[in-house]
Amino acid sequence: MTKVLSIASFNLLRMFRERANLFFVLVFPLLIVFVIGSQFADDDDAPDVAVAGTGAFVDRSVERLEDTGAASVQRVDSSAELRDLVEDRDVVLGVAVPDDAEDALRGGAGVELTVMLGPGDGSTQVEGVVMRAFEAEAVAADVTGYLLTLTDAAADDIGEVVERTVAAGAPVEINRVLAGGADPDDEPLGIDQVAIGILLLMTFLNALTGASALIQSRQYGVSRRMVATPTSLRLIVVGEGAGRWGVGMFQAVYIMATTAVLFGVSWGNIPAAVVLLAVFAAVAAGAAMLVGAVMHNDEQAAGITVMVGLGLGALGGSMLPLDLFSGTMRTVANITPHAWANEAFVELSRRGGTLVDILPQLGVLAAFAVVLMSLAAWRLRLTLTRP
Amino acid sequence: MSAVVTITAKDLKERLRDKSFFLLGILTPLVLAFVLDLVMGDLGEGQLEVDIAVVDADGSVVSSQLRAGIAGLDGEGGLEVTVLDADADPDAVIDADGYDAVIVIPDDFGDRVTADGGSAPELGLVENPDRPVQAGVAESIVVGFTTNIERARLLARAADELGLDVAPVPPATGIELDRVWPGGEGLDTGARMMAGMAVMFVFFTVQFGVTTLLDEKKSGTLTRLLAAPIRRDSITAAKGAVSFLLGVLATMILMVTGTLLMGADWGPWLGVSALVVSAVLTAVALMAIVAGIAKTSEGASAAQAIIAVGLAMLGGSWFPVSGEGLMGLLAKMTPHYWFLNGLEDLTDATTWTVVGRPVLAMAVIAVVAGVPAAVLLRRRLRP
Amino acid sequence: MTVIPGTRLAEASGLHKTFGDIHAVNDVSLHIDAGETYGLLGPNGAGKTTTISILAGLLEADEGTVMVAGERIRPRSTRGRAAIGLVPQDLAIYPDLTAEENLKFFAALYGMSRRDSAPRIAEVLDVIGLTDRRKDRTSKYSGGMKRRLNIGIGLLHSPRLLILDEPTVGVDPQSRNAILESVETLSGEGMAVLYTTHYMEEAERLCDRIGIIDSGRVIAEGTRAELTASIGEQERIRIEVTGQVADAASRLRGLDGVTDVAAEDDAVVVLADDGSARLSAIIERLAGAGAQIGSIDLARPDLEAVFLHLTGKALRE
Repeated sequence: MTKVLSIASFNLLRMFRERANLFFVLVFPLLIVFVIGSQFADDDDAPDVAVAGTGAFVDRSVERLEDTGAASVQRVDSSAELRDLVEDRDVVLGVAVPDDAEDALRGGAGVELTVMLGPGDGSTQVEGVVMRAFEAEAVAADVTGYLLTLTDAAADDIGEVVERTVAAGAPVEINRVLAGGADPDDEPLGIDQVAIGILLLMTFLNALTGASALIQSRQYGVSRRMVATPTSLRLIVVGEGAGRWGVGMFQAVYIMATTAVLFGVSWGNIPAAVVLLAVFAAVAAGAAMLVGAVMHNDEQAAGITVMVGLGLGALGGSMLPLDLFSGTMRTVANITPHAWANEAFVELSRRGGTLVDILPQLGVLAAFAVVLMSLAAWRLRLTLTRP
Repeated sequence: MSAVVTITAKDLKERLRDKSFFLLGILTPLVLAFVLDLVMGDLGEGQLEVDIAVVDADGSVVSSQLRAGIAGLDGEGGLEVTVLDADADPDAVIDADGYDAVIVIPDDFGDRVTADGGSAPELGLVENPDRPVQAGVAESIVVGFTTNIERARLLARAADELGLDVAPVPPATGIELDRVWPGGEGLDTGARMMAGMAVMFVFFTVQFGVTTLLDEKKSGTLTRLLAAPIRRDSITAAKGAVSFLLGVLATMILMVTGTLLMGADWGPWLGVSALVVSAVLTAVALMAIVAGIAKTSEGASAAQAIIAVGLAMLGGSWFPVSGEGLMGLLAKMTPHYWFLNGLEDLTDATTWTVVGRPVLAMAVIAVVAGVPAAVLLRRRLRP
Repeated sequence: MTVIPGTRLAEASGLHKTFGDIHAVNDVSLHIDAGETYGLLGPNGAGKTTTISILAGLLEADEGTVMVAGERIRPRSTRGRAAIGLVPQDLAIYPDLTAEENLKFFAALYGMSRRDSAPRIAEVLDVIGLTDRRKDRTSKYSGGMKRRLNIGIGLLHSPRLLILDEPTVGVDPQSRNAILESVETLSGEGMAVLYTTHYMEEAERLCDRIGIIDSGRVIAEGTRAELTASIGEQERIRIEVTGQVADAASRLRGLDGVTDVAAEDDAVVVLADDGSARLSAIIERLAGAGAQIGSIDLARPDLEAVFLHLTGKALRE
């Protein structure tokens, strides 16, 4: 055990001697959480939508739309201005409403709203919500116009009746509630989810860069010398791995602490979270050892590190929450340790879970770690004992 | 000039012989773009899978129409709708079957809708706390049906008051939509991811060229280059040229692969080339600054990796960024932002000249970074 | 080669170079004629490499000028460079390229056309004995092969002045001998050679004239005979000692007939008139200082003795 500790502490020392590493471990993850978090934590995170047109109908529709919280609305004077905003991507979507829209509807004629969509998928995602607001506010005018086609009564009279009826009836209300009884508007989502994703992504990626340390050890013949000492090969892999694990744990705990203090991220049950991190960091260290045992030089290891680190992160829900994955992709995601750790963290931070609740995920992660370490030891034995 | 060509050719031979160029410059971005497209592509194409259940505790005419209307959406655009028993417990079924949301029609719904006055009809929407986005889709669907109900209800009452007979099927809204894309439809998610990865990884690729200057120092060959009858500037020029050529090569391969494998339509290739060339130039200039400051090739690689990922994140390689606010300002200082926006414009454009503004912006970044880079690198030319 | 032996090929005059507080090169002047081998002999850190870097146009001198083949050599200018072939002290070859590719690359940099370079490359490969391995990457070569290629690149463009900076450091005895032989051959063909070393034997064997350099200054210059004559008939006595070497050395100073004393790591070097007669007195003095004496070596006047006499230091301390 003391041997493992001495190899591990030596590795930590080597790691912190390089100043660029310090930046990578300490400053960089915070910057990312800040950059992404600032997009979520903003109250004004709803997509920007612009509306051109005047009159009561437009006023009511805009008010309704803003009440949904799904878009933040900007009013502009002309449809040309609207077009510019959409073209320049200052807003994701613009709606141009003819000035006489409500009167036209009341008169039984159709009205054409021009929906200007910005490039990309953001515009189609918000389009439905925006149009429903307009449709909802057009109900009275729609009905007036329809009735006009059925009777010879004066338009004004019909309008008056409809207005009176609207005033008399109470509109349908929608009661939203979360399963379990919580208020959906109090959802502590956003930055927590981002922080979990970044925590896992960075911890894994950074531990993985340790692969180059193993390669260097191999190149300098240090590992071979260690083989010559009365130290078993498995112990060396565990020891080198422990170095990476130490670095990974250090960074993970650091990210947890700083994001909790700086951005108010809640990590749930702290002891359980630390155990979870410890196991996850062990998986990352195992992966680093495997890459270090298989790859021949630093540059190749760097390529693999970036590919594996970012790829697994993306696949495991570090960039897009797992809850938004399609069914198939959600199943595929389970091949990554990130997905399991992600799921466990959500259990802890969102549902107030404890260590017992995340035992299944911990078990899977531990299996990942053992398999990766064993593969690494096997590969390393092949490499080191060959002349 | 011939010295620049000779050194460039030698460096290219070395780099292409080394597998890391293909690994980091081409394979890695391809794999990542593919993974990101798998993960995010579905969402982008409106294929978010939403699993909704309906509980009709009412059984009235109104509620049956509503229930049938919602059930009719089953199978459309990633929606899955299940009609549950009238006495199902929404909390329990969400927990057991993992529905994203359960729409509950209470037992007095029909009565309240048809009643004259009285209290407001209510619809329940029980949301799965783990699935806020999907629940949002369910809510949007309920809102749409509510508008229809309101229209039908208003029509029935007003007609009644006017003494008119109306058909039980409510009219549709008189609002028609004219959907236009003034700035074009832009890139789809897969193509955007591909472009984002391409511009991010060009920063990794160009460092192969720039950091060879540090390698030459380590291998001692810099001394020989300095002793040779060639101008010293031709050494730095060659290093820049190598970076540039490798960068353009890797990026163009990725862009072509995007067309072949993902069916990406980038627009006129002349415009794509202009964007690629200027993005690579900025990448060379920025990475050359790092190589000019760093002491060892390893130190430079580490710093360059940080800068590459950091700029990519700011500039929109990972997720789209708007050009507004502080973040927008930062984004506009990265070549990534201009490269990606240039591509968005280009894809629907008829002429390649639409990339003029992004190309100009990148040229400015390249010059601002390139001048100090050249000065710093020149100071590296010591035996 | 159409060089007339005896013409002045390279001339450095009044070179000065400082790095911060260190005066690395202090008023160095030297000249080399065609067909002549000039040795720059001095301990590590004496300023040999800095002097050579100025001569090869790698470094700008603070003061002084360098002329080679009638051209002024300066870092900013490429004039006269082609007349110089440089073999740096450390290996300077591309590991990912083959020997042939390394040679082709530098041939192109020295402005040789493909037609001229192909036979010349074959010739050089033959000289350095790498013809069979020319298509292998140099990273797979042994240390000696890499050294040979390192020298081959310097010879490639048939320079009129070949500068070799400690080419035998870290080389096995066999390769070392091969290197010395090829330098002798080249010199015989009329090439001017500037050779730096801190091995006295190499300087004695190869060099027509030798400059002894210490702390940035050339403190003596001449043929081997001229240099050794300057210290008269003194003999050099090297005595291996264990114990307080510095203390033992200091006790010998002032002993009758002893002119210079220097301490090495495990030996004391003494310069004395009629050394053999003084030996018993010296040994007595050392024994009195409590030093354990190992082997004793008595030598006729040589360059090492000259160096000791001039600097009061041993060449290899």
